[in-house]
Amino acid sequence: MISKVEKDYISKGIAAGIRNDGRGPNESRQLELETGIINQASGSCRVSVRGGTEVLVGIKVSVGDIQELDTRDEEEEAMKNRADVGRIVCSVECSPSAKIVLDKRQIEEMCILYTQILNRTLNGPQGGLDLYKLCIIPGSVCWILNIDVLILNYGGSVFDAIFMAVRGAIHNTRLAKVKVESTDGAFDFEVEDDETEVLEGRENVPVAVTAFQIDKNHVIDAMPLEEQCSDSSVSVMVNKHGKLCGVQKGLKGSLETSLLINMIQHCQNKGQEVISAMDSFLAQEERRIIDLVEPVGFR
Amino acid sequence: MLFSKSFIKKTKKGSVIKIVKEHYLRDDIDCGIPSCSSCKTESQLTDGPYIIPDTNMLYHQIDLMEHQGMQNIIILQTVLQELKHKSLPIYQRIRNLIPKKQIYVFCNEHHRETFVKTEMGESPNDRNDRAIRRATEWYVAHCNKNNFILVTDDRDNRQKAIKQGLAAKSVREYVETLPFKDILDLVANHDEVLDAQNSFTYPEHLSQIQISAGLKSGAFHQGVLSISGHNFLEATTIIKHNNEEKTIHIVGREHLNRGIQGDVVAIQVLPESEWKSSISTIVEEEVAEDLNVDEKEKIDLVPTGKVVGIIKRNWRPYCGTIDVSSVQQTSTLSAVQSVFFWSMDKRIPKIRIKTRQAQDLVGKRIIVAIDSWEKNSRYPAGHFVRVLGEVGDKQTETEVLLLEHDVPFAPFSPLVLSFLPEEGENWIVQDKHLANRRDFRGWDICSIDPPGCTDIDDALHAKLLPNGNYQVGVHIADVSHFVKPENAMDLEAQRRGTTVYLVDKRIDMLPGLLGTNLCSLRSNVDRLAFSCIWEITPQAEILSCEYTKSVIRSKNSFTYDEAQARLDDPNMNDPVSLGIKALNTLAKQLRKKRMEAGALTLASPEVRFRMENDSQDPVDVEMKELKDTNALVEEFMLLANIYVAKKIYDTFPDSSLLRRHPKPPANNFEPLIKAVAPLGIEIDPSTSKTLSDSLDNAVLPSDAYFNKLIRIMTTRCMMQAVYFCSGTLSEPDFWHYGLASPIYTHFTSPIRRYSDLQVHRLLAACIGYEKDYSSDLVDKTKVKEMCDGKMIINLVLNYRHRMAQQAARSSVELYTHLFFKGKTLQEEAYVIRILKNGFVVLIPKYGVEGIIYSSPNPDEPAVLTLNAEENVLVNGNIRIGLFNKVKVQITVNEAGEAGQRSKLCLELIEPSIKGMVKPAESKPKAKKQKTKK
Amino acid sequence: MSRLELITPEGLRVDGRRPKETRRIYSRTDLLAADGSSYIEMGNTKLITTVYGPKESKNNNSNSIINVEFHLASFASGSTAKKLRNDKKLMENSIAIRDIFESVLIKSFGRSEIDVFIQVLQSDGGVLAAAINGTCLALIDAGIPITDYVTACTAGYCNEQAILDLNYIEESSEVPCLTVALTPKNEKILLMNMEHRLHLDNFDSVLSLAKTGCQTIYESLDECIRK
Repeated sequence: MISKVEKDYISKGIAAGIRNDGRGPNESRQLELETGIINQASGSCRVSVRGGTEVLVGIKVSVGDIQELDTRDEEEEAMKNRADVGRIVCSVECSPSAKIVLDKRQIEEMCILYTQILNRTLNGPQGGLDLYKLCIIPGSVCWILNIDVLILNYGGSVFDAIFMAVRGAIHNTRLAKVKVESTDGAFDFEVEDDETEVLEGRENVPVAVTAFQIDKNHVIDAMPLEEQCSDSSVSVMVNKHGKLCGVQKGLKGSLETSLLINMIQHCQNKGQEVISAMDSFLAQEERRIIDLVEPVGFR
Repeated sequence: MLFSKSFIKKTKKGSVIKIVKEHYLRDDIDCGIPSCSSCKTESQLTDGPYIIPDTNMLYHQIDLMEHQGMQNIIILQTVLQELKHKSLPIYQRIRNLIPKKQIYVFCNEHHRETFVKTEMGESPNDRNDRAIRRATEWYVAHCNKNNFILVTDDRDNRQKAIKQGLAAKSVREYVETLPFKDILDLVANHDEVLDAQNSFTYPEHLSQIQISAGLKSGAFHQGVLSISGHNFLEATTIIKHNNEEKTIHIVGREHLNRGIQGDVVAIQVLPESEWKSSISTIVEEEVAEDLNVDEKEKIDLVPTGKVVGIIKRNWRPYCGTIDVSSVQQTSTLSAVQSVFFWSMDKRIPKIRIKTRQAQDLVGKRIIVAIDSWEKNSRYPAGHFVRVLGEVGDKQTETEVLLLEHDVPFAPFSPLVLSFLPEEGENWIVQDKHLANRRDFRGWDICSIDPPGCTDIDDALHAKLLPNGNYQVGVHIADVSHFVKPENAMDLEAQRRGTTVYLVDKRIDMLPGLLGTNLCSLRSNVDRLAFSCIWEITPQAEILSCEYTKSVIRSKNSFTYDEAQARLDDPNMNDPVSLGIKALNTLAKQLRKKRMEAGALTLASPEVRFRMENDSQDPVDVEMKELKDTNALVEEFMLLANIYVAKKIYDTFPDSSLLRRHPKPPANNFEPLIKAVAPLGIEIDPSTSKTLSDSLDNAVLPSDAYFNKLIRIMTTRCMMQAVYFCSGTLSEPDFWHYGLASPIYTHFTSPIRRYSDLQVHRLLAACIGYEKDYSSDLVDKTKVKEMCDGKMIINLVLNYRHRMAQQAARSSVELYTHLFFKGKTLQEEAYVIRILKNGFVVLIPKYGVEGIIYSSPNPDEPAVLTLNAEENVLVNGNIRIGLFNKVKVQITVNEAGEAGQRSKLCLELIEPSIKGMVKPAESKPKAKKQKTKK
Repeated sequence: MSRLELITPEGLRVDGRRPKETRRIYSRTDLLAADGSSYIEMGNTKLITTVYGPKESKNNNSNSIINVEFHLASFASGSTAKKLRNDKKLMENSIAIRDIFESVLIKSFGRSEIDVFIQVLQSDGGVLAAAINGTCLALIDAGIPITDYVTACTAGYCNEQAILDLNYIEESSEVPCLTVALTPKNEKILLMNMEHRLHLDNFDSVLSLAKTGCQTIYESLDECIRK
């Protein structure tokens, strides 16, 4: 909880363009990104933001029936009709070891919310990934990507970190090559021993940038205190080509339209920066993987 | 140093999982070379050039590896692991070889310097090849000598190795350098040897993925190929279609598509328009052209299919002889020749092998293994394994039939014998054995067995009780006291499954000390037993039953004749004789009750040979006869088996070892019913009672043998009785059709059957004698595996039982032919089957069957023609139909160069038809061979 | 169909270790901003333990109580089956850990509680043992006084030999698996858990091997703490 005095202090600071840790309102914190640390998963990524946020994403691929879908969700109903695409199933969990500013119920709500946003964003052309390529046998078998997000530490702006980590993990994921053969209209498939195929369209996966509105200004990459000062936030998902992939308004307050549009544009631009920084990170990671250097992991 | 290995696997359910394993590299793995100073491990290698084989060499050339000329072999861990994935049986054989030869297993995968990490885009095969080369390289550097030879048939691998500076040879190149004459023959064939007529091709087999797709969608079915004994170009297989079992026929070379007896194949059922008729043709050793079914004869169509792919090959080494006509007479005796090999098992096609010893092998029984069957080769290719002996020699032939029926007959190993009691022959029953046993040594117990029987499993007694009822006891040898579970002797007995009775030999399941001495219930000596005691009224009502372990002292060991004498003699009134008489009365009543319930009395044409005293040649043949005493013993053994079955099932409903006899499907009887209908006889197979009554009424006043004949034919319609685990079936399925009993097991012969030993252990646990029994005893899966295990086929009771029966029959056949050798006899016979080009007869006196062809001379037109609607063969006014009595002349064709085994040659004497008999003066000729390469 | 050879005739296990060797152990402390935290790797089993406390507790207890929460990440195991948070096995593990550490706490705090959160990132056999080791390190890192280290290790019996530190493949085949936790100084056993059947004759060798394993782990953990 935050006291009125502190709130005042923070908003005045932001109006003046200074934040608690010396950053400008548009600056994000330094982060570390590493991929491939969970070797049991087909792809993984860890994003660690200086200041406490730590997110670990693991992707496991499995093979499943195209028909099997949880029909309670309307969006998934729509997906169900497409018999020639693969699926992405996301889930966000919070590790109990995360230093929690919020209470239990709020954590659960947060997790559910993030899960839904992730699912929505990725399971469609806006998600960047070529879902058609994930289909193995049209009408019956497809790849399913299970993306599991684990929040290890909460230090503000978790949503951005999650998206970054998801993008990194998708970049890191490898699928095994599948050989499909048919006889008289019946199909069957075999998988190769090694995972060698990258996911098509991974460079088009968007990142999220969340702007928190504090009085008349907004900050990007907020810390927990700043988040508590804020009344409303806007998360913008933008991809490499500058296209908007999703917008989500959070928290309880209301926003003026002009401020909203302002925030969105800011986030878009910021998003581009983030993506190019990430891409160079990821390229480094790729080189490291080819050189067969072990990741540092948690060491 | 730690690496991580990961790979993707597709599980049986169809989902895909990723398996990640750690992989540690070590510094402490030794090279195994004796002269090496830095490595201390003792190995069996000696000095000299060492060979490093690759996986394919071990996989294809296993027979070569077992030859004593192959020594100083370094087997790499990479190679061993690949081999295990490829074929578990061959891997086991190599593992068994390793302690016996100069072989060292080098763990190159975990050695820091020889570990090879997969490069990007490298296939697993390439990586393994690279690992093998790296290991060879390391050895050369480590020992500073270049006497390590990489042996592989993969040309690519060899070239790369040579480029690296290593010595590499192909299998043939290496073997040629060895100083053994016959070793080159063992090298398996992989080069495509095209037939003289290259235009011949079989349809391509589908890949495994296509097959599994087809199986899932229902386009294909899976089944085990079962080739007809009469015609090796016809096969049947049983598939599961809509949850019921159907028999599909496969006819013709092309449809069989290189399937061999026993293979698991994928079948595609043909459309109805292509179905064949069920009357079959006999084809023997002559090669038949692809059979042309007469288009007009569309009667009795049966579902027909074709083989589209092979799921699993079930090849084994086959015994047989070289086809003489394929051997070329050459002056150079050691030139490599390509010859054909005929297997004893008529269901296997000719196999082409390469050998240098062709001349020497003619006229001998040899063993050959199949290597491959390519699609443009008419016959499969194989290689020679070893020689057994001369054709026709009794020892050799007996060994052949034991091998062909997979009967383990090696003598008991010292390890097995070490589990016999220390006292050996001097073992006696002592006081310590009496704990928890009842002492029946004072009782008047006797045993009744065939003459010359040394392994006495069972003994009986009957005593009149004061209340007028009888106390009847069946005492069975207590084998489970001597054979404890899971020790080497028990495992060997389990492997054998049963004692095999050949005409002149007996292959024992247990060592002789137990079987014929310590367990055998000999007279006048104390013996341990497991007893069932009943109280029975004089009207054969059973009032109570108890089971106990006991000590007995049998008073007499009678033969059936001796016991019968006691029975018939009114003056013998000693307790034992009175006991026998009482047993007889009770047995008769019990039997009557069983008959009323529907038990079947069937018949077999079996005969027994009377041997001349010293020589092993059969002198005369006699039919087995049943006396009262036979029936007596049988009756009480059945009673004991039934009661024990009930008892163990009560206590262990999940894991009892029982025996059942399924009801035969109605259509099995159709041919028989149709055949006897014209004679005015009805057969009703709806229940065993109705069947039994029909059989009793199937009499022809004119012919006494007729009823027996019908019973023999009925026996052939029956299903096999099998062992099963009670937990796997529901109670109605326990029914034993032949005995008309709701439940049954085998309890009374533990000396010669392993199932009985298992039931003894179960019963001992039931009565609380055995307090700590292993949980394996009551483990449902273990019992099921024992009956029909899939993983280790050899440990299978039902399989061993079947094989023992077949081996016994083959032995009888062998002796039958020996008996007829050199003789020409004329005997009565009955027609039991009509075929398209001949008919099958049964000769009651000797209990043998034989075929008479419609055209005795293959070059001449058929003398008899088939009238398919009435199912008779005609020539003018003469008709030959089922159950007709005829007279035939019997001679024997020696097992010479032409055929694989001696054959009975039959000719029709009566009814006399011109052209069916060869002129009396000429000797019976060997059948002309129309062989095709 | 092929029987997995857990120990080849040459004396190597599936991953190349000899029967009496443990897997590689790596540990470090103080990685998260909690009162105490540790990261431990035993082979491919990786987990993070965080400790919060001692803090004020709402109950009126005379001794400190420990709340243990076990959490298995969804990507942690070989299959994609999602583990329920209330999985009984995990709860059993939590209770076991709680009992162990409550007994080694130096009982000085009343009305206080300590929260221990265990997050499993990868599981490849020996999860309970690794969790115990991790908790021990985290408690030390948090400065909570305990009487002695508690180390744990698994051992099993296969092919007539006792083997140490089983991985997932070995645990899932029919090998009896014994988990032992003890205090290294006086070798007192705090936890002993076993699955499958093991003959009493062989029990001794397995137990002593497990104890040796615990000592080895203790040395490794100690080294890490003192760095």
